[in-house]
Amino acid sequence: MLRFALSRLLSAIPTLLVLVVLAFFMMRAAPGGPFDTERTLPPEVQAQLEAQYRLDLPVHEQLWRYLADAVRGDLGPSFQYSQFSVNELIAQSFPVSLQLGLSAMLLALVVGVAAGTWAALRQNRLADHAIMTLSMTGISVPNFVIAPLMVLLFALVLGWLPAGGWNDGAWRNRVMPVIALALPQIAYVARLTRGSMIEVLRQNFIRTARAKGLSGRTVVLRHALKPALMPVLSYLGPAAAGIITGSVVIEQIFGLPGLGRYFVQGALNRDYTLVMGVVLFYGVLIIAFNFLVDLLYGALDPRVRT
Amino acid sequence: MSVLLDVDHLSVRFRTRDGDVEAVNDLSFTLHAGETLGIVGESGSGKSQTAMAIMGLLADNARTRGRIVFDGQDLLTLPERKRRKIRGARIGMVFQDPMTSLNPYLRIGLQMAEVLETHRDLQRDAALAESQRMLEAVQLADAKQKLRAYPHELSGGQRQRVMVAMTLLTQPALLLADEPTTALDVTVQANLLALLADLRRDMGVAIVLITHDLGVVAQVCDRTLVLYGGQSMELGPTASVIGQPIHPYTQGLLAARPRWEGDRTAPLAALPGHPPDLADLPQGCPFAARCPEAQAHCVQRRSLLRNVGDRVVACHLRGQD
Repeated sequence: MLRFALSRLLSAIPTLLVLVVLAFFMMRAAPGGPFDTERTLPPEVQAQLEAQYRLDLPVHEQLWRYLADAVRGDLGPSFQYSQFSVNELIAQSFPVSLQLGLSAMLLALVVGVAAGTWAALRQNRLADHAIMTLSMTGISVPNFVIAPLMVLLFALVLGWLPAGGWNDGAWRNRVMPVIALALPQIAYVARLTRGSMIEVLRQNFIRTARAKGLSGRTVVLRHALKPALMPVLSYLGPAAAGIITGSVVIEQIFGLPGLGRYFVQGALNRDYTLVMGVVLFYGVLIIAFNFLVDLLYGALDPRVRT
Repeated sequence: MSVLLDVDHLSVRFRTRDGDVEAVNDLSFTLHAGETLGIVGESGSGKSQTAMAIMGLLADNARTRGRIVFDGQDLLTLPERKRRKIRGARIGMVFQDPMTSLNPYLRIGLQMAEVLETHRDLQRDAALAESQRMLEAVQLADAKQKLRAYPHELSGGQRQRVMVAMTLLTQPALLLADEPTTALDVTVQANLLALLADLRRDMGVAIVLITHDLGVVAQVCDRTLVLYGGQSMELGPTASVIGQPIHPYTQGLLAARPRWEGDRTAPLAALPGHPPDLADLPQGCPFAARCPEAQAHCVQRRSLLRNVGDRVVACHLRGQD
């Protein structure tokens, strides 16, 4: 167990390194720089800024120093928000994204698993077809289409919910972003659950459970649900990545002060350190999440545990 | 002895996109309390579906006709809620593959205890204690530790003992065993058969033993039913059915058994041809196409069941005075 954890941690290091180096060069390959403005700056001001942010150093030196700082947990100063460090910006905005992301994940699991199970039990009947059609729609329509439509309907036409803003995390402001983030995941989880549930219900041990005279409810909840959830569990890693990607768009649409929004702003402003910092942070997050999922997998499947 | 189970003109059809499949066709037999009946046949002869019909676990697309009277009630017309009270309580079933018939995610103890919790309203502790007693009764070593084990930690033979113990928890009057020994090693197989024989003696449970292995039938069954193409070919006391088979199919089956005595390098005798397609059964005797004695009318008309001596045989060529 300890060996497994250690080897996973060690293998994360090269992954993160590649991630940072890629982000570093891609940012610099993008046209324009952090201090481009309408007017050209006086040469001495330009030189002073570049010296302050180490842009005057050779590229390999810049990368090396960045990595050295990052290892110590210092992601450097933001180019754009000059009074803040990247660490501070992340610390400030991540809680918003985390709350949204976890709520969306929870919603996706509960609704997706319930819908998928129901569809599996009504296989090839009306409910099954309805759920699968809806979920196909959920997967294929991108969130930047769904979200504005939701705003149009629930905020502008019906006036039930605010169109955007965080409002210190009032629940009415969270409803639409969370649903918009969760929708594609609900759809995917539902399809996944349906497929694996149908597969599990054909297993011999389910026939045994029925032969014992257990109620249909006990057969499904006690005997079929756990094995049927294993593929869903493996999907949690990709789901987390999907929700993070989604949050970049959704936070922008709803004007939420989350990490995804800083990421977009940073990229537009060529804020090198902010973008690299967020990329690195996302990388660590996804690796940690996948690691957790693996631990959970071992805890749930007795055959993996031993 | 009283009749425990009366299967009366049972037919099972499955509706499929490519037409109906007739898995069981006009099958009748009875079973007395404490008796052991062997049902023999090739795969696709309808033996498993007969058991599933008795359990009430046929697939959704199955349609049944006839009656299955158990303890005076027709199981086929009983509402599902009442049927569930019989299934797993009065009638238990042991399946072929012990490797996949237990839930790999749940401890043995829970899988056994839930039977008693469902049918006897026992609390978990009492149910576990009772389960342990039953595991000891089927001579499983370290019964207490086995309750905490998961199925993958047990061998095939141990798992089949668990299956048998689990089925016997409620002291059923009838045990359906579908190829219970097929997936096991020969020595383990012999142990399990001995166990079944003991249980029958000690608990008085009636057993329907489904198998394609005539040796197994000869060892434990009082009477034997030979199925072919979903129809009864021959039914009678095991000693006579196996000792002096009457039906050409039974004779063919027995001739095809591998033997220890005699020339062991000689090729195995085999029945030529294949079992009939259940979706497209011939109108005559299902065995006619492979029967060495078949005549014109065998192909045209179904053979009626006739009493021949101590048994019932379905053959145009047998039992005529």
